[in-house]
Amino acid sequence: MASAAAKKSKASPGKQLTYAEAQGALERSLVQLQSEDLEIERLPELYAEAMGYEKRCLEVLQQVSQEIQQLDPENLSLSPLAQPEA
Amino acid sequence: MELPSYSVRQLNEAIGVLLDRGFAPRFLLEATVIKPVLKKGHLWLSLSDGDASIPAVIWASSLSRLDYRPGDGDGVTVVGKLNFWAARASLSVQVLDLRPSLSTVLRRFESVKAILDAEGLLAIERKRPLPRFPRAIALLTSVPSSALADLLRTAQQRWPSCGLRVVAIPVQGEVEAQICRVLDQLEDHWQALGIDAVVLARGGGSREDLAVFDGEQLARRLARCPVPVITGIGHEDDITVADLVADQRAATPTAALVALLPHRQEELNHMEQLGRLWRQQIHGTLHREEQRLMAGRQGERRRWAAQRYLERRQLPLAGQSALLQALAPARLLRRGYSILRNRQGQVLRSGAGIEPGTEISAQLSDGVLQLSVQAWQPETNGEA
Repeated sequence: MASAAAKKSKASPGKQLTYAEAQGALERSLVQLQSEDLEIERLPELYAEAMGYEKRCLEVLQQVSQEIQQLDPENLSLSPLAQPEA
Repeated sequence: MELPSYSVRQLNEAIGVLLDRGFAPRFLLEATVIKPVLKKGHLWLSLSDGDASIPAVIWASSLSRLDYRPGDGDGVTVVGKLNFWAARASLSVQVLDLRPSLSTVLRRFESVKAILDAEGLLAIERKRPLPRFPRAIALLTSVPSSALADLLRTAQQRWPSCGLRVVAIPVQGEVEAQICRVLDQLEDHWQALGIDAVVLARGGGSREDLAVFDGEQLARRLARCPVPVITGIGHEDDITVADLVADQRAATPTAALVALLPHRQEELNHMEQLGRLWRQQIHGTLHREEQRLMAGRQGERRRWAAQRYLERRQLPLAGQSALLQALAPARLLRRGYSILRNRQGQVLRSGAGIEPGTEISAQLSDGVLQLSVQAWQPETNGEA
């Protein structure tokens, strides 16, 4: 039985998970890993899944540069924001 | 004493000079606006405090610069100067700047609040939860401004992975329509921009400065915004209609982002703690499984040992069985031996004492012979 998180990620191959998606998938994997009914044969697969989701979460958390864009109030076209002077 | 003598013109000019010399060139005046009328671009009105009144005018040149257009009955604070027309000895206040008074602002606040409340737009049930980990948010504030600087700094400190879409808006004066136009566009494009929430922010100022955020049309735009709205307007004690209709109100722009964005370091700590926990749990699961397997193997070893023991025991038994088979009476009978029994069925091991004529039986391999004893001849050792 594949986890819901796995299904979700497998349903959109190549899609970079957002932090919320990766964190939610990680929580679901952990619930399964902690289940009393867990079959030992499923452990390696779930472990690999959890590791993948955790890796994605840490990637997001370790990001330090912030994407800042200014929208033109008249047409909402995106343009880099000139940083306000200190 | 000789009385001074003037012509009317001289008198009026003298009054004008006196006013010029004896009265402050600028002054503040708290008053209520009475019957404002626009004529040829100039706004004519009376200013009153209920007991007294004075005519006033806002020249077209000043009127175009004002953020606020007073209505009849509005309480206002005026920056003014006296105008004296000598030709008619006419005195009026020339309005240089004008702001709604706190009472006017609060009256409008109460009025709009009542309208929206009656429609249920301020109901708690309408409040949507803020996204837990927003991908991108729109920041609606003045650019550049200290509020924007606070927002950018706080976002960088808390959650750098959240994209920021900054939309410059005017935040004071008669600018409600401009803010509404921005919100209208966001309503159409929020998905394309990946926006999960909207922050409406303005730095501190007087309550009167925040009056634009009491606008009814602005409130309606905020109420129908497709993503949650959080406000951070003015100071801790300032509540505007926008605050009431928003999904969440924060006291300041910084507080709005603190409420909206998770803290990166706290989340990192949580993730590390969680990582240790679930690895320990997996380790525990594996350890229990190993114990279970070990217990199974020990049982197997015990069974194997028992089997070996039995096998060792079975080998001598097999020898004994062969011996027993070799010694079996049937085998001897087949070889020609016979077993003699008396009539009581007792095996005869000696002929001594058996009288001639005694009936005995002889067991052969294939039957029983009934015999009658004729004589007993004992054998003696050495005589045979």
